[in-house]
Amino acid sequence: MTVCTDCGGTVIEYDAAAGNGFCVKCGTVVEENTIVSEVTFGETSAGAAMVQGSYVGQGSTHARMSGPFGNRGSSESREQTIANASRRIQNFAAVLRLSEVVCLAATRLYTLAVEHKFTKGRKSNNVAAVCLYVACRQKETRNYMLIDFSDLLQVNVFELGHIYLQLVQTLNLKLPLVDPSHYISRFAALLEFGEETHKVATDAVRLVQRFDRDWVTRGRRPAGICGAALLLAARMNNFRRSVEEIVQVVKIADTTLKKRLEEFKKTPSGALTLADFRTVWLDEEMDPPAFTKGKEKEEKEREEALNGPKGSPKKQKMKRKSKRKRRGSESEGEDVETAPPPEEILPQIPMIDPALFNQGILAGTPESAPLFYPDEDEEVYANIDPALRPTSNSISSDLNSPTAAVTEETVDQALAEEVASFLQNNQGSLLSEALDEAEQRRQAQFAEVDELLGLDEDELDRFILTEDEVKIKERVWVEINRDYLEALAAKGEQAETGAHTKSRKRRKTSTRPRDESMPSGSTAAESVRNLIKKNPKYSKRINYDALKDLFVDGRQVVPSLDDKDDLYTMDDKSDGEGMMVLEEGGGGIGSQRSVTTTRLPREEQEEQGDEREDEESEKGDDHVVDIGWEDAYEQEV
Amino acid sequence: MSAAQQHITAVEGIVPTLQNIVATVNLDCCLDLKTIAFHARNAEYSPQAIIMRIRDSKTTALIFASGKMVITGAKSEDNRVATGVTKVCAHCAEVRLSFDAKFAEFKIQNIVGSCDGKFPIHLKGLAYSHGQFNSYEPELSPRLIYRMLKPKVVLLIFVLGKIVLTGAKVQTFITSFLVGDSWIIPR
Repeated sequence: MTVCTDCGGTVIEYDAAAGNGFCVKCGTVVEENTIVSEVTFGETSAGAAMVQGSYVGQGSTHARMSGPFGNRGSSESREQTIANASRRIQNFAAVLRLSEVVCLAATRLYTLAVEHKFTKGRKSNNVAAVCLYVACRQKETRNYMLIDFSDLLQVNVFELGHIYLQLVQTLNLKLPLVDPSHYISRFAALLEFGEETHKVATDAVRLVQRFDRDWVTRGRRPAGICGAALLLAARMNNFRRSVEEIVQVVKIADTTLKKRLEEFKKTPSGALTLADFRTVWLDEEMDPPAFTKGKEKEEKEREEALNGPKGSPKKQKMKRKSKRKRRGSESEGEDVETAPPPEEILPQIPMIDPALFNQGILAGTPESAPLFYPDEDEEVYANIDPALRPTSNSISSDLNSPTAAVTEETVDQALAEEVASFLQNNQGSLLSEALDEAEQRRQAQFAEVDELLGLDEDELDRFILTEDEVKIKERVWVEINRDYLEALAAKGEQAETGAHTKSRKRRKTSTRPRDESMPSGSTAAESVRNLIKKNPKYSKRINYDALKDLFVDGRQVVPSLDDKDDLYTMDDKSDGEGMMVLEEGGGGIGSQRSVTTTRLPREEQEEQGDEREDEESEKGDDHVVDIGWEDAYEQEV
Repeated sequence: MSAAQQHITAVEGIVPTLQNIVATVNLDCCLDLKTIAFHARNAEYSPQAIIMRIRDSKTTALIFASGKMVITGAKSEDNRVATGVTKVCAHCAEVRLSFDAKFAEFKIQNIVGSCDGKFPIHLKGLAYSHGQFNSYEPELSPRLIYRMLKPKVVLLIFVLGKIVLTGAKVQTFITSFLVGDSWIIPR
């Protein structure tokens, strides 16, 4: 509750139009410039009416200012990106006739993707399309496939698919699975069945469900399933639709379609009449087509291997029957259209001892007991590892039963304790020593191996070519890779020239921060020389040639400096610095200081030979100056 | 075969077989690829790397100028084959062609195994029951990709019960996946 800051009054009146609130008691304005969503009009200086306020777009963080300067593109880069994507998504949605809700969801997904930096390095068009696809999947409008989007964008489906999988993983989405029946209605509409579209679609959906039951759909592309189902449904309703027409609509190869039809033919439902199919729902399931195919092949091979014994097919049949039964009873709950399972009426298959499978013809075959257990256990132990199910009469499985595991654990514990106590004995220590030694020996062996030893020398020799062969190989290689080598050479040249320009640039930039009046060099001497070269008349009071000599020949300067020290009684500090310079050979800060120190005495001395130097330095002739300074110096001495 | 493995065999009848091992090693010296390529009989040279093949163990080594080497194609149960191949290559480089090659940072990067369950797997059911771990897009590929967290392996599961295991860096991951997770296979 707002309280007046002045009088403490609690009655505050708000004027929505003016955007402020004031205390009724004392009249203090408590709040002003509140944001209102009302349209107000004002008057310009010319007397014309104008709209006041500014516009805040949905999802934007700033108000868009309208005024004399217009829109200045004040929105953030991210906002613009999302706005662009939103526009794109809307375009796609318009083409595919998707609802606004899906559009919004897709835009939100895109915003999330942007925040996860998912759009970086990917085409925004593709990402937008994938977002729309994901939104479709989420919003139960699942009649569009990824291939439709790829068709729209003219991009490879698998490229989109890759992005889609990555997006799902990045955003940690959990999407409902696709079912071929989702697409049926759309495809049916495209195939022009007229008024009977719905009827055909219903038949097709039933077919798809039957396919699903018979494991035809697993791992197959939904479009193929849809195609086959639609083709059959069309024929069921006396429409003549060719395979080509279906192929055009569902976008799948005709061979795939034919394969699916072929597979359906093999299922028991495929043998039903038209009327029967519509009414009867066989509870029986088939193995996946590829599975039976593989099994047949395997069986044939085995028969060939064992010269066609009669027992094996019988047993196989028995196995398969029991398995089929199991599947039927398990999947009962899932299915909506369940007829009373006919197999319950069938005589119960007697319990089969799993151990039997490891005897006789099947001895040693890899697919043994656990795969085909008798039915009785299945309901109870459906979620348990087959091997862990208690079976009374097989020795091998006894070991793995839960009770056995418990006893094993206790035994293990006891053993560990015993071993631990033993190791602490005298005997134990001896043993452990021996073990350590053995371990060391073993380690040594490894080490030896790791040192690239123990290789067959002859064998290695064979890997190495002779000189002639080397030449041939080299020539062949150069010939093959000519293009690359040429490109490489060109690149290298370019890089070289590029490096030159770069270094020149760098030098330029490095000089800039320095004092303009002081041209620089790598050493103090160089910089002094540069200075003289640039501006010969830097100062009248400097003996330029002496400066030159100072740094060119360090050794010669040593005595002269000492002399100077004696003569001009310089203080210790400057002397020390002077010495330092000599050791360093004229580089660094110390040497620059030395310039000043040497200059000091020189200036003193120069006062004496002032007149001559002035004249000579004005001429700008270094040689003459040199002599002049030396003369002066000699005079001093 | 270790006791654990035997246990698995007894239980499942399925032991994944190793299909491929990818390993890397650093020879720790710069190599002149041209010299090696021209002097070694078993080397192919594309300007980026040398491909050296060893016939008897059917492995391939990819050698880079930085001295790094990638060995693929080894199927052996331990690292011996991969190591052996590297050694042959390294030795070629070192002794015959006078490079100062060492043998450092041997590391297995990926192990691929496969097995056949020999019974159909209900991919849809699996996708429903373990939605957070897997992705099953029949439109894109017939396999179900199952990202197991522990052990950290990626399984590619096919309808026919064939499973490809990849992404493991330790061999036991491949062999132990069935022990902990046999529940993923029910139909």
